[in-house]
Amino acid sequence: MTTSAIILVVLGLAWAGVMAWVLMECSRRQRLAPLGSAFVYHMLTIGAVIMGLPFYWMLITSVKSFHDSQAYPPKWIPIRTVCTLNSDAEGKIFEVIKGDPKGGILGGYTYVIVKTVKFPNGEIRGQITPPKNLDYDVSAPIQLDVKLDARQAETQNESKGAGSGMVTIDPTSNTLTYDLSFMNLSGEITGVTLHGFAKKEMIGAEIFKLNAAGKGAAGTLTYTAMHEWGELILIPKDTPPEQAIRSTRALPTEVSNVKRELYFRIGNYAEAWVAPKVTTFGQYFWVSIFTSITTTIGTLLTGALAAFAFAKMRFRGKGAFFYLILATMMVPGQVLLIPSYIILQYLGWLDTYLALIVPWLASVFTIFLMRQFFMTIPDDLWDAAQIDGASRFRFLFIVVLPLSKPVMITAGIFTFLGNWNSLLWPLIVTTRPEMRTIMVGLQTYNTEAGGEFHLLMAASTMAVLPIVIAFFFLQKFFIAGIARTGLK
Amino acid sequence: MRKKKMYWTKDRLECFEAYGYLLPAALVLLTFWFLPVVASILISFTNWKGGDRLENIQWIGLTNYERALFGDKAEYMWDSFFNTVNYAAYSVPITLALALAVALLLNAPIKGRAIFRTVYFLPFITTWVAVSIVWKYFYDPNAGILNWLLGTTGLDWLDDPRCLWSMIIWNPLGLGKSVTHPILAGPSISMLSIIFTSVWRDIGYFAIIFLAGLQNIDRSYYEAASIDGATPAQQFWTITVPLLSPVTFFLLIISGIGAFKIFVPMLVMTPTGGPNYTTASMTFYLYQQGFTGSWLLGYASAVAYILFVIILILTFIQNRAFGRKVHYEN
Repeated sequence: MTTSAIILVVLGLAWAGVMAWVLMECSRRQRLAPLGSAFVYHMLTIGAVIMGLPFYWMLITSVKSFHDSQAYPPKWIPIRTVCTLNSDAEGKIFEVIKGDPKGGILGGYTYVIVKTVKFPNGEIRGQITPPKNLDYDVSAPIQLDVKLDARQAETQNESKGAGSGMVTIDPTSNTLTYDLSFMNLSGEITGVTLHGFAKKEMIGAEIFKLNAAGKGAAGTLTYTAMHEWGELILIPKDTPPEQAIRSTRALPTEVSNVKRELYFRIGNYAEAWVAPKVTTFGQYFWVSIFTSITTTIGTLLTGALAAFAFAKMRFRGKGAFFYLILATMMVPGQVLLIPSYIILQYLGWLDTYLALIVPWLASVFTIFLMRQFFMTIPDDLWDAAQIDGASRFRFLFIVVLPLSKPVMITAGIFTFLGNWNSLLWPLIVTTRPEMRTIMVGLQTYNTEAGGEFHLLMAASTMAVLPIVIAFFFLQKFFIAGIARTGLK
Repeated sequence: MRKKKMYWTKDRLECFEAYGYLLPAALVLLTFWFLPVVASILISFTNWKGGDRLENIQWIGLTNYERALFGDKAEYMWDSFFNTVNYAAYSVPITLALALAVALLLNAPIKGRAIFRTVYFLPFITTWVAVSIVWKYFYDPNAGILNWLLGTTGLDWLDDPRCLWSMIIWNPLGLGKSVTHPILAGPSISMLSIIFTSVWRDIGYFAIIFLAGLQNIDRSYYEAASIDGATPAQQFWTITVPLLSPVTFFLLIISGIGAFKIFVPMLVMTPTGGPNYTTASMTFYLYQQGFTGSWLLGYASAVAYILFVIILILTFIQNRAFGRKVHYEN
């Protein structure tokens, strides 16, 4: 025991020594000894496997069935078992079996929870008959923004959980249907308060407040559980027959022609695409693409104009303005979050494309990056252009911008990537499902879908794919741009 | 163009033209950067809540700051602060060290470097949301492959409140119960899982910048040193390390600031703030206070300013501690 431990330690130290030696060798950029380069390859390969594994896992899970995505030990390739069911076994409703509460992850099945123990993620759906004198404008859009308050039994003073969702009011039957998803709740829910806020015309004005106590005061609440507290497990329809039959203890004579085949369940993508309740991933994509492209173009335009002024023009207060702009780079976005939100609220822009686009139409980073580049363009060009009778504006667009393609692409990539990947801002300024960007949509879906990893991975792949494809085409600019930011 | 005498009208025209060019950017920056920075201070002195009308808002002075730092909310606020410190203290050095190692390996003159570079860089361009979702699946106690890879069963990585140093040092010494401070107890397993994910994601980005720095070093230094009979180790410590120090310093600053602003993986992987609230970062806390529950906008503004001051202090300390050791090549 001790000898093997000693051997292990010695081997580990030797390996670390070789590693350190090779790393130091590498910094000189000289030809390595054959053994040295073998060592470099072996290290790089180990690293690449660690870096690549999550991607492989994401891709492969996105084409697995629900059951395979839950399989333990994990399945590295999606193989399914096919068999022929004899006679009347087909179409039979499989028996309901007992499973462990933690393992039973099941989306889409509605059942009433008898005992509320823990609420990590979930949903509340239900109907209430609102009071008759409810002051809402029937002609206004009937989908309202909602806040959910949940009190915890243990700590009365403050709710640590909250959620959002939508409410539909049907004026003819005077019913209010709500469909909320929430998170962070723990403890027993004692009540739910819905605050309805009107849109646009009366931003921030509370038009109704309903208290739906947990035990049936204003209406009945049905808790639709996503996972974790199910007593029963229903076997989903697409369970491989082999497993389903095993779990129902069917006789082996009921199946024949058992064979295993490779099966990529591409349908997951279609299923994930339409999985969001009110809208689809198509809408999320549209919002993301539209806002990212507009902000990128806008940022480049405003950035080019401002950078040109800073780089090539003389004006009063130039130095002061420039340092002011640089100083804003120091301020973390978190500080701007709340006032910007309030400004947008007063402008009535919350939940519109304007909220997602306008605040990002100028970027200090882009201005700075472009100014640095414009400075390197010789003034002689401007003199020549002047002789040809060109205005500054023309000079900027005809001469300077074509010369600055690399920096434009770099700045464009950063802006686009930043917009596509941002979560906090769109999460805050949008509440309607139709206005969600792909990242907010993905995160919402993540809280809704709970353990349906095969669909989640399909959705994640879809969200990541455009960027990865763009990366492969524009790799040169990506890497040059990032290296440039580091060396400046 | 140089120091020639100019007509004042022409000067003024140029001046106005320049203002015109600045106008579009200035409008946006004024409304959504400068105004908020000022407004944020004012809001942090009020009891503004989401949905409040202006006339209901009261000026409450420093109460929000007092609540956050010493008052009824101090417990969670400080928890989130120390969690963020834990996150930064472990993720930044580990990422930088590993990224340097990767950059050195990629610096070696071997074939297929471009492919490796792409693979290492890929996690950085995939978004935090997707990355967090994939890793959440990795860490899943039942379906996750991490438990399978490590041969552990049923370990719930993202819901495990046990802290690193408590496990390694304090518990064996029998002090586990008395050492509860987040810094001494160390990051929880849950937080370590998030740190691991973030290291995985950022290595490629830092490695690319390190690599650019390495390739920027003139080869002749090494050749001269070799002729003088310096060993590779000596060359590494006397040439590579000092000449790389500006890049290292830059990365230290930006990764330090970035670490203090971390939010997305916490929200996606541990939406409740983790076991015993050990993974809630400051931005996460700010989001929870300001944009969920009772929407305490005024209070959250105060938290944002506290975060801002912390980042300023951090940058200042880094500057003082390492700034002088940076060797700039002329």
